Amino acid sequence: MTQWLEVTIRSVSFLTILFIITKVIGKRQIAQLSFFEYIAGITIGSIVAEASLARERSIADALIAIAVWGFIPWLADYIAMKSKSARRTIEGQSTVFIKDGKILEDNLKKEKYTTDELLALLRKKGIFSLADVEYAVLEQDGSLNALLKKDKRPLTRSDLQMLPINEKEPYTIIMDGRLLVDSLSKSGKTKEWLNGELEAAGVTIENVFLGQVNSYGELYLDLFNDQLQPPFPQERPLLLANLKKFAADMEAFALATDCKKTKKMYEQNAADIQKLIQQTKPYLSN
Amino acid sequence: MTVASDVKTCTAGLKQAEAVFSRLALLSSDPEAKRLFHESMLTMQEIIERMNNRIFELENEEPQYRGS
Repeated sequence: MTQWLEVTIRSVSFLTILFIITKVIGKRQIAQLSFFEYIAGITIGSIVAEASLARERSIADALIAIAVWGFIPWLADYIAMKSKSARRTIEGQSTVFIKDGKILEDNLKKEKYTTDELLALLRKKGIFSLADVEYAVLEQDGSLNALLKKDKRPLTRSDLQMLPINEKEPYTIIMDGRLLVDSLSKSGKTKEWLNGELEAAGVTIENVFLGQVNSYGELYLDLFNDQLQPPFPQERPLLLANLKKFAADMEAFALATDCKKTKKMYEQNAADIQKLIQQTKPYLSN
Repeated sequence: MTVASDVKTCTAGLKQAEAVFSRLALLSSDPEAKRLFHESMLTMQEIIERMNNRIFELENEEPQYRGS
């Protein structure tokens, strides 16, 4: 066999084997969460490189080596999944670097991290001042996660004592001018609904580069032609504005009438609409 | 503009808002939002009902504005 043909065949077949092994071990192999996956990743890579180029090596030897290096991480993962104590040995434990806002120098020394490296890891998380950190932990894979002090965390709805609201994930239902039928059915919408929405926006599906439907059933469109700006549904903010107008109207009617019974009816309407505004405001404002 | 026509215009607007609430209740995917929109729609229906009664009274009081 010619030299180039043999190298090609070896390379392609080992690439296929590597692909299968990665599929079997799963996403963990790519994430390299534990020591075994890290070391196996490097070693299998070297074995394959050697086996593809060195024609004097037998393919069987390379296959055995890959099988062993593929099997051990798989076995380690399996044992770690079954037993908590084995997990501690195999995958290691996280190390606390900062507790109660104070650096734990002993733990830093144990993991052989210098103060500069700790500061660099914090900066990677966007933290430049040590005074902002309440707690920080070094994970098994060598990344640092930090919990900021309460008053340095981003403001949330609950901080403002606003009503809790929830939104579901948006679905991408049109991509490159084609309908994604699976996503459309997952989003719980029908083709008829989509046709209606597209018609309202004045576009055909072929002109849409990307289309997403959000939690309120509103369709956001990005067109191939960037000169055109499709309208984004303004139904909810408009409804909120209308509700406010109705409440004002009711109060005006109440003032205009002399009949006590009618006055009371208008006032109740105004109160009902005010309550409605309070309740639905978080859902209606964009 | 008379009171009767003002009240009628406002009621028409309320009906439109009720329709929007009903649409949102059908299309929203979050169950809590669905429930809230549905309840809002029912409240709107009550208000519209009261306004309709008032329109009926106004038309009887001032028959000349009927249908305006």
